Amino acid sequence: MSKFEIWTEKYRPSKLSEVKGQDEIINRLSAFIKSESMPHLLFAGMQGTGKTTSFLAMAKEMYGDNYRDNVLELNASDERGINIVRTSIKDFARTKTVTENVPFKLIFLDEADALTKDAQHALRRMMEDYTSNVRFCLSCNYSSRIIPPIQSRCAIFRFQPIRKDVMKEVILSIAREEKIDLDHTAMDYIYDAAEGDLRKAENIFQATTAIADKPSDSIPGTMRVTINEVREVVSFAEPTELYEILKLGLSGNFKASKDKLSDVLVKYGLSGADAISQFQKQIWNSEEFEDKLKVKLIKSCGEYDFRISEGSNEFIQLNAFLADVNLIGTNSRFQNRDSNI
Amino acid sequence: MLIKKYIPKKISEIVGQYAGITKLTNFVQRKSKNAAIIYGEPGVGKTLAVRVYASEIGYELYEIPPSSTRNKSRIMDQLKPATTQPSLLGDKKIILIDELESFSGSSDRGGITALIEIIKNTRYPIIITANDPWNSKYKTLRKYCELIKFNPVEYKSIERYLGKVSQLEKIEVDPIVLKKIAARSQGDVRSALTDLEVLSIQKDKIRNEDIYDLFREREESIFYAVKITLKSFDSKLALSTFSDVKVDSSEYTLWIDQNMYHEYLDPEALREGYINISDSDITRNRISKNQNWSLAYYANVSATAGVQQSKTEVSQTISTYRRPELMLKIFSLAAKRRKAKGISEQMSDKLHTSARSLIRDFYPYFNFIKEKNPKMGKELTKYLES
Repeated sequence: MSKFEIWTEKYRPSKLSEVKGQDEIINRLSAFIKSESMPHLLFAGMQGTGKTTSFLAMAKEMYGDNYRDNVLELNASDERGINIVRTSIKDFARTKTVTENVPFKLIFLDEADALTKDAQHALRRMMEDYTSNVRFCLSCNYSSRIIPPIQSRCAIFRFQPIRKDVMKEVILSIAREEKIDLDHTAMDYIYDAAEGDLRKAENIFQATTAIADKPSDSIPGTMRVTINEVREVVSFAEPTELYEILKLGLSGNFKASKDKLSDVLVKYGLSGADAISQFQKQIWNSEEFEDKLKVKLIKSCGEYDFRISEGSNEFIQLNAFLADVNLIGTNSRFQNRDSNI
Repeated sequence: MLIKKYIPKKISEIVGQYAGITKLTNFVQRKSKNAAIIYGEPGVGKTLAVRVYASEIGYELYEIPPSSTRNKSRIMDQLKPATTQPSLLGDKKIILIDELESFSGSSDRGGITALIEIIKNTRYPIIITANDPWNSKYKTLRKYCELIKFNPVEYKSIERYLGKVSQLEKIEVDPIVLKKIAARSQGDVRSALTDLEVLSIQKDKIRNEDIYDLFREREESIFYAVKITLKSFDSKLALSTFSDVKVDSSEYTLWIDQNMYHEYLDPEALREGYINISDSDITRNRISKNQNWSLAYYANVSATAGVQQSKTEVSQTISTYRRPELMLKIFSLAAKRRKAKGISEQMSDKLHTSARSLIRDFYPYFNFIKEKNPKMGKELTKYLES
């Protein structure tokens, strides 16, 4: 067996022309390379849509072997605050570029929307100061979280969620390469679970190989991956216990729902924000909840999503959410009884 | 107070911190760097060692206490002359910045950068004390400082020290009590001495069963406060019984969380009660973000009177209140997260993704592979570590 690799890296395109699903953006980026001039860039879009990949491919095409000397890759969310802007960027931006044909260096700032407002203002000044030899490429989930003065200095590129046909093409070509016979129902399930996030799709797919143990009948020399394997991976990564917790809460069993929730949080190492976003997904996709109930529950998710971000103890906030669910459940039981009379 | 009465006058009298103190004296004598950070748990003698050492060798100690103004620009204005102008005792001066954490606050408007400037230009050794200097915001600062660790004091040393103090105080103490206090202190001499003092109040003899007062008394008084909050309607009483107990609102919300649902059987009241502890938690977070302690009052009122007034009637059940089970869960969750974070930070560069989003987007699948297919899991780990 060949050396183990993470597929998201192994199959990360190294040329712009190979980046899938963002054709218009890729065309414009290629034009920048040809003209050897470029404004600051702002890449907006959810995770797994190709922001980092496009940047890396572009940088490699620009600088070739000198790529590492001319590119600074930073994560705003890991070293939050103004220090990152002040020190790392300053040191890098201060030195002159070493390539002959490209007159500037590149700084890629991932998750730029995690920077505080103050840090963003400092960043803005730096974008001005070093324009002669540095171009910034900022990446974020929501461009609205970037202060307007930065937005106005950047060419904004919006990365769309990966379309089904594109995701299918990528996943199936990985399947060919890795000698896997992927059922088309399994492919559909991966697409639904990934929600337009190609990185997630590849991670799910790779995890299925840990449990795929049946050789394929139709394509010799390959392993078969069916919807069963995919389902097992997805339910491991996105615990269905949360749905049961919701139902416990709605049925008036507050204590049970609360106890189970804290167990699940510890078991999976989930954060409060993760738990709420999972709750929200499961409510929306539920086939038993009535629409009226769904809306009430989603509104409550919104309230506690906010409270979790403002508070310090996620257990307390989540239990407060469950107390709300408990009340919503009680009220809807009464209403149903009244309307039956 | 015993802590004041038995404060060491000489370096040799400080309990169980020999290695750290040697590093401290070396630092002051050799000045290989301009500054040092002494770090360790509370009560292990960080500040004390600096003070005692300075007076022992006849140095002037210029001290910036944690409780002084938190206004950074003012501190900097003080520090600049202090670090550059000669001392009354000639060149014999040490600058002590107590508690790095409270000095730099949580928002960092260049405070640390300014401090580094001061360190670069100082004529005198600067010593900073800290509980945890490994926070990433101190990354640059650490480069300019020698790091001196003060370990938790050996439990045997604390035991011996308590024995000595009780002899001097003429308190008769069951040896097992000294052991228990020492064990309970977890290396914190200050708190051990306080415990001994609490137990010896109005007593000349401390027996084994008395030690439980230390644990029980506090819990019972919290139980009482919880009872007032949940069972009565007098809001002044609720706030004041809470204030009598040595418990802060963030811990108190855990106690309420543990016990409220037995009493607030009406879903409306339960939800209202939870909104109040949720509010209290949010206010607490704002306090620690901005060090705005004047808000503490609101956090306390929400957690006590707020919860109390959420009900319309008092439940007739006779409740036995319980200790919050959440505390343990909070610890286990934090431990689990630290582990995930460690692995993710390792992978961050390799996968061109932040540790934060790796925890969310990659870690579950990594765990799946490790759990379902150990062989593949091992190869995956090897790949990530290479």
